[in-house]
Formats: sequence, C-alpha cells, structure tokens
Amino acid sequence: MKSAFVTVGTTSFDDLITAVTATEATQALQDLGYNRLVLQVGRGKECPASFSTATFTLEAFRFKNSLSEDVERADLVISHAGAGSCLEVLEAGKPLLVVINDKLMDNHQLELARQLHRDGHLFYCTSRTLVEMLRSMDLSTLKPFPPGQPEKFAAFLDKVIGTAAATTMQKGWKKYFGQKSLSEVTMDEYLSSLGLYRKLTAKDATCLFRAISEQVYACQIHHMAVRNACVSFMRKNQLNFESYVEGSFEKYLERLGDPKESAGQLEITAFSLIYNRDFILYRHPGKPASYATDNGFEEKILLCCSSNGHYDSVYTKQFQANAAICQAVLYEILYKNVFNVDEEELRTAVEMFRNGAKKNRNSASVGSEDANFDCLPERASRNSPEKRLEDWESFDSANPAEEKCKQGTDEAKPPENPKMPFPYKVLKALDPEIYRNIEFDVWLDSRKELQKTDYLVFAGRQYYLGDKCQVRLEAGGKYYNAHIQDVGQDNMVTVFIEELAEKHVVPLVNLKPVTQVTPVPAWNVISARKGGTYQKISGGYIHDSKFIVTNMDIKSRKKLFKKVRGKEVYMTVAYSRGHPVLPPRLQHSITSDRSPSVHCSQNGHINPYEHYHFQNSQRTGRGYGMPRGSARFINRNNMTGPEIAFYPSPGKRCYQSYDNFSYRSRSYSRSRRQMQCVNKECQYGFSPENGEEPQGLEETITFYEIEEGDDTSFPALPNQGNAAAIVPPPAGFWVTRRTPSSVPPNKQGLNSSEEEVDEPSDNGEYHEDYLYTPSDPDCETTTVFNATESTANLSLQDAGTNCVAPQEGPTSYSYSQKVMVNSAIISSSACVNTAPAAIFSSSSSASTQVSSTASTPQNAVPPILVSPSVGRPVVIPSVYQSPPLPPGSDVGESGITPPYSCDPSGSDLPRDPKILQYYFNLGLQYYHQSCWNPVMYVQQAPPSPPMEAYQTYPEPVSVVDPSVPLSYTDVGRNDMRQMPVDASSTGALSIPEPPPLPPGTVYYPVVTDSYAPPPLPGYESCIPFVPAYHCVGPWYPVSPSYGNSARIHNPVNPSHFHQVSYVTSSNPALHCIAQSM
Amino acid sequence: MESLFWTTLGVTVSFFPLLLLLILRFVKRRFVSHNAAIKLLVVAGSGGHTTEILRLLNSLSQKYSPRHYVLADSDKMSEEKIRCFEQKRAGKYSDSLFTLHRIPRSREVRQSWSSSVLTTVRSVFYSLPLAFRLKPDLVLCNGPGTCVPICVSAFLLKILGLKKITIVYVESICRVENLSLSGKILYRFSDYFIVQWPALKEKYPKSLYLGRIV
Repeated sequence: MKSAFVTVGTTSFDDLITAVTATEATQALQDLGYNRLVLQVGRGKECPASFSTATFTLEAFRFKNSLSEDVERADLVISHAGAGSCLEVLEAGKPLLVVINDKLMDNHQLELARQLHRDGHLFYCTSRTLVEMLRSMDLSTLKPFPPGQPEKFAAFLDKVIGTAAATTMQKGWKKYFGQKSLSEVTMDEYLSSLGLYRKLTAKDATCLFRAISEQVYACQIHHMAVRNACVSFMRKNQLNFESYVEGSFEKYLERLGDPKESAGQLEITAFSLIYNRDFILYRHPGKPASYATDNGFEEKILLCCSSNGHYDSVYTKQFQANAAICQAVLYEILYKNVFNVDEEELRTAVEMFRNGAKKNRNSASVGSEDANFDCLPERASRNSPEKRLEDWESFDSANPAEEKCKQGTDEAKPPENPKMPFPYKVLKALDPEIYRNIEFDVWLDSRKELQKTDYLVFAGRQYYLGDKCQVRLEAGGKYYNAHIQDVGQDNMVTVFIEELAEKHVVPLVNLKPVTQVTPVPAWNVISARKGGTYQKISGGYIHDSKFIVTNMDIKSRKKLFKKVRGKEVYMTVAYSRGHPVLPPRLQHSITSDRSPSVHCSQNGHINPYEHYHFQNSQRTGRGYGMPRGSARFINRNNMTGPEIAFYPSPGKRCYQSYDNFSYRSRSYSRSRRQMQCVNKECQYGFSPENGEEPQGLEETITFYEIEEGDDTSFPALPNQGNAAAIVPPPAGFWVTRRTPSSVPPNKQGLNSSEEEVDEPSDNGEYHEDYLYTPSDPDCETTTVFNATESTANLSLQDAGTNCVAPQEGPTSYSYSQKVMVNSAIISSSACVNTAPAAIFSSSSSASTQVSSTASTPQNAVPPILVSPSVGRPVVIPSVYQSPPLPPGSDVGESGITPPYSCDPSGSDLPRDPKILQYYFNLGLQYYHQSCWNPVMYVQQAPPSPPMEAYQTYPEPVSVVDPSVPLSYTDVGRNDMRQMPVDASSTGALSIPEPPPLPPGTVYYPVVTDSYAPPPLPGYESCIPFVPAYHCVGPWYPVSPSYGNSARIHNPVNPSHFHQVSYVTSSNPALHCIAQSM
Repeated sequence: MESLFWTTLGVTVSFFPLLLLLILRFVKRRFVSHNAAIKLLVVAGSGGHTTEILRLLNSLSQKYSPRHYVLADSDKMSEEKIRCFEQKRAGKYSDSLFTLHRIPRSREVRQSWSSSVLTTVRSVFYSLPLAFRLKPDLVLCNGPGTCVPICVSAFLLKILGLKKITIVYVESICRVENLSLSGKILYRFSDYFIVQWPALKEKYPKSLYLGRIV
C-alpha cells in the first residue's frame, strides 16, 4: 500500500497537477507500486475530484495547516521547489522528487534543488520530464539529509552579542586557555572552507618552535632542540641576520635561547634555511596566505599566525582524518596490549561513545569550549563526531585519565561506573573520527597545575615579614612560636624560632598562624591512634589548647571548595578514617561569652551555619575558645592561603571567585595534609541577596587534626574495620534540578573530581560534577550545609540577632547531603545511605539569609530544601559517628563500668563527663540499632538533667508528617536505603504549617537515623561523638504537651535561627564503596 | 565683537546636546551587563522566511527577550506561525514576551525595481519611529523585503549613536549561488552576514559560513 504525495506549497503549480494526474504518470506510479496518490493543489485553477478504483485511489485537497502527516504517510513526495517543503520532506527522511516550475523563471528555487541534487539528497525535473524521471530515478541512491544546526547560530550570536552588548569582555583565565575567541572561530571557519585544519598549539612563547618541531619531526617535544638549532644557525651566519637585530646580536641570541622568549619573522627565515622548507602564513580570515619565505623549496610549513604573534600549525583536513585514525589505532593498541583491557569492553565503550546520545543537540558547539578537541568536519553521518562530543561532554564527569603525551603510557584510571567505562579524553582519542590534540591537552593541564601552584605561592605570601606564627620542625613535631623572617620561593619560609633562638627554613606546611585564644587546659590531644590505621595527617593546627579535633562536617565544606579530585577522596577517606569529632565535652562546654570572638561580619546576612550558635551551657567550666588567630589571619587581606580557609563569595560567584582564589591545588593536598581552616562563609555558597561581597571574613572554622602521640584524650577512632566507615556523604550535592544533564549526585558527590571543572559544557554550563553551582543560571542548585557540629565552627550570629538555638554541642557530625527530591537523583543516590532525618530547617521566611538553597535569586524555584512552608520531603543522609571510646582508655582495657543510674534526678550519674559521654554514646548507638522499637522511645522522657538547661531548640523541620512518623522511622530504621526513595517517591509527605511555638518550649530534634551495621566488635571510635546530648534519638514529641503531637516543625520566627538538626547518617560503610575506589 | 560672541554662543548651544548625547551614551554603555536580557527585533517575511527565522529563534537562549516581530501588513500566514511558536516558547521559558508590529510592505514579490524604491521609502518612514521606539539590541532578519527599511533605520540609529545595535542578516537557505536583493543591499549595512552555502562564502568573503543552520 505505497502512497505518493504531491504538494505545490502556498502558490499554484497547475502544470505539475495536470502532469501528475495524466494517465502515463498514474500508470508509471502504479508500475512503481504506488497505488495511492494524494494531491495538495494549493491555489491551482481546478482541483481534481477524488476517486478510487480497485487498484488506485486519488485524493486531492487545496490547503491544510500542516502537511506533516501527509508527508509522514507518503513513501514518495513530489513537490514544487519551495525551500520550506523541500526541507520539511528531506528532514522527514522521505524520498523527494522536486519539479521545477520553469514558467516562474525566478530561478532561486532551482538553485536550491540543483544544489541538493548535487549533494545527492533529491531528484529534480520539470513537469514535462516528470514521467520518465519517475521511471528512471533510483530512490536508493539518495543520501540522508543532515538537519541544520541552529544551535551553532545561537552560540555564535551569544558570543557576538556578548562582546557587542557587554562592555567588559570577561577575559577569565578559562577564556585565555580553553575557549576559542571569536576571531579564532572565524579563522577556523575560513581555514575549514579552504579544506585546512588549524591545530592548536600551546599558547606560550614556544608555539612557533612547537609548530615547526611538529611539522618537521612529527612531534612537539623537540621544540627546545629546534630553538637551539635556530640559535646556533643564526650565530653561524651572523652576518646576514645581524642587520635585522638592533642592539647586541649576542644578547639577542642569548635571549632567544630562553624558552620564555617568543620568536618572530627573523627566526622563520632562519628555519626556512635550516630545514629548507618554505613557510606559508595564514594571518587573517578571508585573506589568502602569504609566503613568509620564498626560497623556492617544494616542502612547505603551513602556519597560522594570529594578531598577537601566536603561531598554530595548519594541516590539511586529510591529515587530520589520517591522524585521527592513527591515533585511534595507537590508543587501541595501548589499551589492548599495554593495559590489556579486553577487546569487547573497549569496543563497546567506543561504540557507546560514537553513537553517544543524540539528545543533547542543542548544546551549541561553535568554538566549542573544549578547545583541545579538534574534530573532523561534519560528515554526512547522522551524528557528527562533533555532536557526539557535545553529548559526551554532558556525560563527561568522572575521571579523565591523567594522560601523558602520546608516547607516555596512558594510565587509565579503573572505570568507576559501568556507564562511563573510559575517561572521556581517552574515548575521544579512541574514536577514529576525532583527532584529539593531545599536546594541547597536556599543555592545558600543565597550565592548570601551574595556575594552582601560583595560588600556593601567592598564598605563601600570606605570611608577611615579622609575622608571628607557630612552626614545627618536622611533621608532627612540637610547634614553636616563631617570627617569619622572609618568604622564600616555592613554599619555603625562613622563620626565627624564639624558644630555640634559631633560624630555620621551613616548608609552608609546617607553618601555622599563631592563635591567641588561651588554651583550655582540660583538653588534650586525642592520641593513641590504633595501629596507625588512621591516616597519618601530618601538619595541621594545634590551637593553643593543643586540642586537635578534626571537624568532620567541615569536611563537607572542605569538600565543597576543596575540589581536589583524587585527593579529595583521599582527604575524605583520611577524614573518615580519622573522623575525629569534637569531643562532646568540648562541644557543649562553650560558653557564649567565651565563644569565639570572630563574628560573622556580615550583618544581617546570616549564613546557615551561623545559627549553630552554642548557647550557654551549664558546664561553662570547659570553655573552648575558637582560635582567633586564624580569623585574624584571614581578615588581613581577605585572601585565602593554604592554611586559611578558602573564602568563596557565595553563589555563583562563589564558583568564579573560588576559581580565582580557590586553593585547590593537587600539589597542595599532596604536599601536606594541612587541614585548612575552613571559612564558615564558604559553607553557604549562596548568591548574596545583597549582591555585594561579604566584607570581612567571617568566622573561620579551623580544622583541627588529630595529633599523634599526645597524652590521654579520646583515642582516635581507627576505623580500619570498615574502611571508610564513616565517610560522610559529601555535604553538598549540587544537583541541578532542571538541567537534565546534571550528573547523578551520588557520583557527583562521592567522587567529584576536580578535573571536570575545566571542561564546562559547550554552552558554558559546567556539567562537571563539581560541588558547585553549575553556572547555569536557571538551574537552582541547593546545597545543604549541615554543619551541626561542634564548637569548632561556633558561629555567632551578628550581635544584632540573638540566638535562641540552645543547640548543645552537637556531637554528631553530620553531613547533610540534600538529595534533590527528583527521583532520578534519589534513585541514583541509593548508594548514599540516607537516613530520614530532621532536615536543615529553613523556613522560607528566613530563607534568604538562612536558606541553604543556593538558588540564585532570579530563579523562581522554591528552595528545594524542605522548609516547612514548602512541604517537600527532603531526605538528608547523614553520618552517624559511632560513640567514642571510654575516655582515657582503649576499648581493650576499659575496666571500670559505672553502675546503672536509676535516680530520676540523675544524681548518681558518673561525675566524669568523659565516662558519661561514652556511655551515653553507647546507649545512643544501641538506641539506633534495630533493637529499639519505635514505641519504646516515644514515651522517652527527655534524658539527663543537662538537657533541660538547653533553651528551646527550634528543632529542625522534619519531613515527617504526623500520619507517617512511625512507619517512617521504622522504615528508616531497618533499611535506610529504601527510605529516600519512598520518601521522595511518595513525595506526598505533607508538612502541615507549624503553629508558632512559644519560645522556651523544649523540643528535641528528630533524629531518626539508624546505624545500620552494628559497630564491629572491638570497634572503637576515636570520636567522642555523641549525638547531641539533647538529641534524644528519634524523638517524636508525641506527647500531648506538643499539641498536635508529632508534628514536627520549626517555629517560623524570623528572628530565630533554624538550627540544623542533628542528622546522623546511616550506614557509613556504604559510602566507602565509592570512596574506596 | 558682538557677532563673535553670538557665534561662539550659537556653536556651544548647538554642540551642547551632542555633548550631552555622548555622555549619556557613555554612561549607558557602562551599565550593559553581560547576561542582561537582549531586546531582539525580528523581521518576519512571508512563507519560507518565517519558518526559517523561527527555527533560528527556537535555538536562542532565554536571555533573548522581549522579541519584537515586524511583519508586512499584507502578510497573514506569518502571524499565526509566530503566535504558535511563542506559545511553545512561553511553555519552555517562563518570562518570554513578544510583540507584533506591522509596517507597510516595502516590495511585493516580483514588483518592479523603480516602484519598489518608492514603497521602500514609505515603509522606512514607518520603520524609523518603530526602531526609535523599540531601540533593540539586536536586529535579526533573513531576507524578506520588509527587512530593508528596518535595517536601514536601525543603521541610522546606530550612526546617531542613540543605541548600540547589532544587525545580523541570515541569508535564506534557498540562496545557494547568489544573494537575494535584500541580501545584496544589507551586505554592507549588517554587522554579521551569515550565509548557508560555501559557494556564497567564496563570492562574498566578508560573510560568515557556519554550516547549514536552518
């Protein structure tokens, strides 16, 4: 039942209609098997009557608003030469016969038909030759018609308008290295129209030498040899070069020898004689090439010289095609024989890459972001390599291998997840259609490395002469007070140590800003790490009181801005292993008056962490002061040094500014494990409503690191048991809600790699699985920074706002990782074991300041994070730290076990807070085991006295609505993983609007969590980590005193700060899967 | 002496608005931020031109709004196409607004050259106030006759320094070997002249070839 469709478009074309309805034509059609003919007559004089015989039916109509169904149903389309119909039919992939209306003589329609015929997409004839064309044409020879690419136009326009409209052209670092500027685009276009291909060369002084070495020796490595050859040649024939050089020729040659010296026309003439090749230079798009040298050699070196004297080598497209194939072969050999990757997997990976998802068509690829990828010109194949690349760029997240230059072996990281078997760069090389400019890749990477070390040096200059600081001579050694004599190069600082009265040159690592806070005698450094299982973190801060705590949740922030790929994982692991947590007594011993002096300088603009304000607690005795020093240090010049918390400005700029100031060098993390003093400010990467940069540096949270070998303290938790036992899921999943291409969070969070940030997708949106807000303006990324922890990041709100939250030193360090509700994410976060826990509560009213959502103001998306008013369940996975060891003793020898305390007033509780702490933790930990059934703790009265002391703790919003609590917790308890999915899938968890609670009512945060795997026997935890005293486990204030029972809400009182709940995550072991890669 | 005084006064007075204009322009230039919305003036012709231009608009990002469409008064088909395009777009992007403007047709298809000059001048008179009122950042057109007066008035606006306008002319896909009449005229006026076939690129080197974009 084949049908043919005839269309004349909006005008009229009677000749075609008469010709096609003539008997020979209908006969011809029937012979070809078409027994149905549909005519669209348009304004034609007569409209033939529809008729149908046994073997042949004919329909006719004048106009239809859309011809697409007819085209779809037709097996052959006979059309007038109108552009609209032609394109529509060709894009529908239907065979097309175009009939030219020679009466019209407006031949531009003929032009298009002829061109398309030449390209093999259609046949064309006139109405008179219709019949024999029908018989003679062979439809199988028609080639598929590639659709146009309007997105190229869009990208071009963005660039053009960007430059034209904006006065300030951001010449960001990225632009300089990676992106192709407009002139480059036009140049490339011009060259490609001449069948040439410009191979990007390193954008530094060595470009000319690299280009020549590549064209002469086929690789760029010999650029130094080429340079020296030039110098010696010019020295030998001094007389004919001397005249061109003013000043001393010798000095000129000397300078030329220095790799940083660029070369020009004079050197080109020299090279032409050395390698007897003529140089052809393409200088301006549009203008033909000029002969730089004309010594009559047949061999040529083609170069493209840009206005600022940068040279790129120019090859023919043929070369590019061959090179791509050779490259593919080479990489295949490399992977098959050297890395013995099995054949099959390699082929599937390449196959998957080659027919990568076509869906991402609209990511513009003009002057594609990825400057170092040179793909072959668009071929007839449906998914041009370029498009494939764009699609892959959206997938490209995981871990581009550290590729050395071609000769070096290519150390491919073991593929992490099945979906992305090989790093993207490798796949590019493996694809025979894409010629990957490896030298430029390598150069770009080295550039980035340099960029980072610059920061390091830059940071190094933090230390001004005469600065007081604390230095230790060897890692882990004792810190001495010292003065800085001078700041040397590459991280070396000479210091004069007062106590020893000696001068030492000390690496930056061992340096630490001095802190004035009077030491707290009671605290002593957590020592006695078991069998070194705990990652040896050398260096690090000892604040005066010599108390070292590594503040776990800071890790979340650390993760936030510490975009160090592998290292991060390492760092996380290190942390996790150590997962030292502020000992409980430390946490709640903070007295408000003693609380750290560093105030969040941003008045009124309280960042979500601000409200972890530690209210005065009875046990003021053990005040623990925040190191002021570090803050002082930072405030000095607002710069972030390696030791100093990075200070990102919130919001998107947070990214950019992070980029500029960020201290994220790989080398840094490798060279020393210095904990950073984390600037609280960076926790909330929200675009500041007020738009200006927060002035002073806010309070800094200093990492304290478990020091080894000190006296009694809570022994560091050697969690060798389950490797990354308590690897808190990375705090901030920046999950773009809307951008489809956002990388699944779990992948994102757990192994966010630093690499990705450099390869933002074409349209400028960074697809990397960075923990940063992808720069895509319209996507709202929210991160929950749920620093619920210890005094370490005591944050005082501005003086102006009184802080109600009595939040007792939460002992549970929790990384709340807000997983978007969007199920795709939730499902993918399966491996992140989420405990339905009270969520960081930010009632929308206070959300501007408090809301953790990084939603840039302009996008209307309500904060994803559940705030009571939004009522959308957000599940916060969190990490539950196992209870610490009984103080001062390893598990092994812990002898004394205190008797049960049965006195309701708690008088018979053990005096020593450490013991109390320990057993409390133990109790809590078991509480989280399944052995506690939900009913049990519902009636649980608030625990021991210290609790009462705490004022109202505006307990965080819990997702749970009354109807669901029990099941919720149950589910939560026994299998954490489903929970997130259910919670989100139901999505129906409605959170009734909380009635305003009079301040002073005591509530307890709902902490539902389960520590799924029972701690290993003998599992000792170094973290004196007790879920906040007052956090009585999954306490649902069901008792009548709370009015409508288990409705958990937080008082929407703008002046109140919404305390983040103490979120305890569930089975940490789960995280280690990703971590331990 | 008297006359000297008056002449200087006259000169300063006459120069004063120009000076003011320049300062204003300078101040205005400072505030254009990179990703601010871009006012777009689109010239829609009949039939094929409209479908092509709408395809191009479809790929533009959200910042290109508001969009002002200019149609020839005798053009019925395009309006309906534009409305349904904008419907779709409103679904995709929340705050996208557009307006429709009509100006007398500057040249009928196959109208003789001489009479079309008259009609074009007439439609220039209509398009000048329109351009002055809209003050678009970008003028986008792909070949219908009506785009000539619009581009001329936009060009005028640019010369007078009232508004920094970028004129982008996309030659229609049907034009493989030679430019359309309006293409030939606007080849000099437009900032960016995009063609869709390499053959044209050779003939008109100043033009840009980005491959087939429709």
